[in-house]
Amino acid sequence: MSADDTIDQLVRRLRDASSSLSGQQPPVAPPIGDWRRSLSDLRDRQEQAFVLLDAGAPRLAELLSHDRDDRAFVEGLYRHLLGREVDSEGLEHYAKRVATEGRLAVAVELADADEALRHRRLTGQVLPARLEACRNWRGRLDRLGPLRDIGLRLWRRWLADMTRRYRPRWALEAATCRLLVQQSDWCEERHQLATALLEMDDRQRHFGARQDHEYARQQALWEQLAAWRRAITGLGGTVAESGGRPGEPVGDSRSQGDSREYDDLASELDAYYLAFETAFRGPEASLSAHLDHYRADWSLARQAGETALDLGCGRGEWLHLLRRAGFEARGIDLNATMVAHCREQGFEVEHQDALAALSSCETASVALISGFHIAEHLPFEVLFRLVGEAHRVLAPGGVLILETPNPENLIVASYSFYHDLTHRNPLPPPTLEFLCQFHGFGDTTLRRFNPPPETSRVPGQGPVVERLNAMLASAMDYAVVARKASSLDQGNP
Amino acid sequence: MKLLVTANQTPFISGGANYHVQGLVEALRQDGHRVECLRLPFHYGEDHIRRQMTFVEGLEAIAPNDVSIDRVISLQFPGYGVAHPDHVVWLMHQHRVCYELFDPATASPSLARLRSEVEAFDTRHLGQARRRFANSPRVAERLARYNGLDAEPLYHPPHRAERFTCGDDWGYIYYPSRLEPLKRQALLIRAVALCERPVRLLLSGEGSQQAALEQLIELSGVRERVRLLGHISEAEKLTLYAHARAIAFPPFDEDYGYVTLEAMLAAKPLITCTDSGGPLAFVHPGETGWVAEPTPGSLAMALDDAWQKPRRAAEMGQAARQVYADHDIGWERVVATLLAP
Repeated sequence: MSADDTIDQLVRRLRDASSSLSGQQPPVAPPIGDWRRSLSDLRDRQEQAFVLLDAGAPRLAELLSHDRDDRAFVEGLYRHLLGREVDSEGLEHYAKRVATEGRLAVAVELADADEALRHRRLTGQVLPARLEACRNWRGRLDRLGPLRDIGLRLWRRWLADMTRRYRPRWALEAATCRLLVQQSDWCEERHQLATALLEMDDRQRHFGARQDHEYARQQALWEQLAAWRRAITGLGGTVAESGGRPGEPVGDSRSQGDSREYDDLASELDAYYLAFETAFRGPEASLSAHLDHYRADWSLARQAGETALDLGCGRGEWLHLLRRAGFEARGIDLNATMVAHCREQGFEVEHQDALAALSSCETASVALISGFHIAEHLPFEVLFRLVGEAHRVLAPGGVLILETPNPENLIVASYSFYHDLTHRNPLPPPTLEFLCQFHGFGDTTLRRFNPPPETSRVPGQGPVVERLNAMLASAMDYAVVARKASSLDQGNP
Repeated sequence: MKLLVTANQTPFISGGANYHVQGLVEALRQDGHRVECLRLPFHYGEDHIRRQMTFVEGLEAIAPNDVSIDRVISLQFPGYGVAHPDHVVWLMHQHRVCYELFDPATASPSLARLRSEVEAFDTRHLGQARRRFANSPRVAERLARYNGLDAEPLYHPPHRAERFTCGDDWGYIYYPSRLEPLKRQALLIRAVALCERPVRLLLSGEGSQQAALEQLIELSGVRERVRLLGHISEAEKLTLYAHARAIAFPPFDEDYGYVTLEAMLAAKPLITCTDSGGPLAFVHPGETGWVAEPTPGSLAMALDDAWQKPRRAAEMGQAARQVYADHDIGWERVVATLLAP
């Protein structure tokens, strides 16, 4: 079907066919950098100032370039007839000659130069017919002998006449040729651009397909993870149940006559909470370091006795610390998984509600009662009774510690407080302090911990910045440390 | 299995060998094995080679860092010098300048010395391998001739074999390869100049011979019939294969040659030479291609023959595709063979 077209046409057709093939391809990656190369070629391509429609056969109008000035004409002539750049000497010389003798005479002279003849021999270039005619007439003048000068004058007048007559037409033709050349350049560039774009598109699609694949894989992994989590939760529940004393009700009202379904959900929620603690509160070790801030408080409490009760003991970090400080520490927690976790470490921990635990204690029997991050989980009535019961249960000189997120920090109050979906509402420090005072704790202190990272500060100075930083950079947690008056104090009114 | 694949590393020189190594590693992984590819820096200098041989012989491949390796698969010189009780060699090629490319007349004394060392190295280590395979019958043949060792030819598919298709014949002969002396594009251009028919030839690829070939095309007066396309994209290559009348592949003593396989995949007959090596294992003269003497005259006759019988060429192409199918060339078979107990 195509044996007749030239080899250039064949190559062009193959390239076209291959670019449409690129569009049909399945999502596979073409070799990297192909398009990058053709795009940078395009970018670096210099605008060609002197190009001919057909380098092998220049038109007279193209050589005379009447659409350009004299110097551009000489530069073009060198390029086209001699195949090289003009030197500055040649440019000056011929630019002057053009002014006196006209472009046609200069073109004839340069076309006769040895260098031009050599160039034509090498490249097979053919001169325009009219230029050849002018050259012939010029050649004949030399044979005129003494009449040569007259002949030369006539020849020049002939050239000038011709130039006068055709100049507008030549100028138009030269400009048109230049436009045609430019147009074919643009066509080629457009083709290259389209090819590069198609290749990029192809790669893009390849990436898209890969992304889809990875997304599907990720989904599958999430599902698998959930299945594992369910399996592990099942195991955790079994451990907690087998660890509980037989006959004793586990937790409060909900253990009695509850459906199996409810138990499943409860143990799943327990597992969620354990994972949440790890993710948001940091590992057990770093929490232990934090608890060390209370050294002065527990030392004071130790003087009032040696029993300690931790409400919502979680993973048992605080119990650990108290035991080292010489306390007989017990804990309670509503999370069966955490209870099991603590018992594994040898702590005496009950699966019990905080208020119930306090109610079952004898008056003035405990030296230290602590609640880390439980106050914010409780409805006000429960918190209210809890603080009252704590006061009853504490021995004189005993200490109550209630730690909770600090809403003085704007980010905590408006955002991070709600990470934990079982939180109720932030407790401002004065409120919690007042609650303790109301229940009879005369000696209360506020302690603030955990400043946010330096980066949360707004840079700069001035009252506005300072005010803003006071809100953004204040401690993220605080505690009310409340001490029950000792018998010594009690004597005073 | 824990598998160690040894191969060479030559930064920024990538070609068929690189694809071969990566293809193997990928196929072994997909088969469910743990695979590490140990790539050893390679430099062709004689002193470098001596050092590399010593280095490889001292390598711990049985249990590097106390991790025991179940099997070592070696592909290239001098990586196959590592010692392992379960060592399988799939020989891509030996160090060719010491073998079939060695010319006593022009070789330097130092190369001559190296030659005997390399030969001893190869005979010793390849002889110790538990099993030996060769990339192609040609490579096996050389191993038998120079080292007296046998090896079973084991073929692997070219890069993304599934993409090659056969389209309408647009009337040209195609030869894709790097423009290097051993690939002998010049021979083919001279042949085109001698053709009686208006045979057209398209050559793709870049290389050291580009300028010389341009000049040759000019001097032979075949500017209207031969074109160097330079670097081409993957899509262009597939198109060029699809619409060719025949594929020419006349290199000197090629080891394997993906061009042969790609031509068969595109259902095109192959024109090659009696001394081209690898391709000869696949071409059945007169049925799936032409095998000419490595002279312009003989090649010109083959080209003319292909040119004047387009229908016959198409039939031969289909037969070539069948040959490919019959050989059962695929990575699955490669993996099964290399991992056989």
